[in-house]
Amino acid sequence: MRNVARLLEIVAVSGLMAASARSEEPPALPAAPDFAARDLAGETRTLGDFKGKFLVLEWTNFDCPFVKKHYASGNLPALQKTYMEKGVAWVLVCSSAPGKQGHGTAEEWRERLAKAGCAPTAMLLDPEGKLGRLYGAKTTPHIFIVNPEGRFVYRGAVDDQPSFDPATLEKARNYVRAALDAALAGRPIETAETTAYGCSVKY
Amino acid sequence: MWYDIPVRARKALYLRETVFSILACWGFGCGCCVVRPLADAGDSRAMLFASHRSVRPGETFELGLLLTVPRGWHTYGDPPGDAGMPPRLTLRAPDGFSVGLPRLPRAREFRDAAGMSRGYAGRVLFRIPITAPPSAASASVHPLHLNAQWLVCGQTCIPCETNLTISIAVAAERSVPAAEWADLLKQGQW
Repeated sequence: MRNVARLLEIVAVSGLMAASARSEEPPALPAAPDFAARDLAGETRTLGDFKGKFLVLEWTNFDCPFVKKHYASGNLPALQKTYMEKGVAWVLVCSSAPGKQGHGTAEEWRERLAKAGCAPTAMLLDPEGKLGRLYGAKTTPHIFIVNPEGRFVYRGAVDDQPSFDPATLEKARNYVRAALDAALAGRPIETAETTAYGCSVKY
Repeated sequence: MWYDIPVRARKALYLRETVFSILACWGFGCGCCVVRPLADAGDSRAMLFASHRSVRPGETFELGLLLTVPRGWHTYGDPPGDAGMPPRLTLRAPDGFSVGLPRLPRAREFRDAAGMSRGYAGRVLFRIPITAPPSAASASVHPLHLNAQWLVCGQTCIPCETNLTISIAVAAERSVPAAEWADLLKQGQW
């Protein structure tokens, strides 16, 4: 295909100007798979519920040292608040299996969130790991940003500092902030995929 | 292996090992030993060694950080794979010393439900090459401070951090390798 595009360009340069635009079209963004998972109130939420908004899915496990770095410092709660005020839906997901680290009942999660000063749009409990496996969530934290048309615009780490040390937050380049700022301004996202770091998801 | 011993006995042994290590440090030039408790598995411990007792000015030697990870747990390599964190080693040395990049032995693969990680079980030695200043005065002693952060994971993940100090002597007349270095390399998966 690339060769064809190049050929088209050459053709365009030699006179058929209309063909040149073709090679500059951005590649299609991957579609986020539809899901159905229960929130803390026991209601079933689907991807469709968030259509028309930017949606951030954040995999979490409050006992994981990497998650603790972002919560004890207030880093992620602040980020959530900032972007929810701009109309972004921010959804936490816990895929820890019963008996594994980070697992909690809806009641326990309500307490943990209140204690962390964190008030997301919703929190989804995924003890069977269906949603986690569907999205390929590997670590906590692991971030997925879906655009209003239901396509992934960012997948990966919160920032570029793969460490549990809160001291690294100061010099961190926050990929989620950069992606959301660009997306909300209608600009292309510079870094659309990074390697997530953290504890493995406790399926 | 010390980590085969049940939890209750382990505390007594840990005390004995600590005392032993401190004594060993007197005679053999290892740094010191710090223990970080793991929630439900015992300790992951770190000890700092040098490849030499004494080096000539301008000579390159190595520091070795020996980590011990309890059975059923592992720590991570670089890159760490789908999860985890590579060790973060920050060395503070006096002016004139040049510090190279840490060297890690070949990691093995650990699989869990979330994916594949790369790292080490048991004992592992991370090596840091260092060159003494060519202008160092003979018969001088220099402290080297290492801050180490490493992650130990089993069913859960525990962050570990410690600060270790070791001194290296510089002497113009002769370089003295540490006798235990070869054994450390073997123990530490080299």
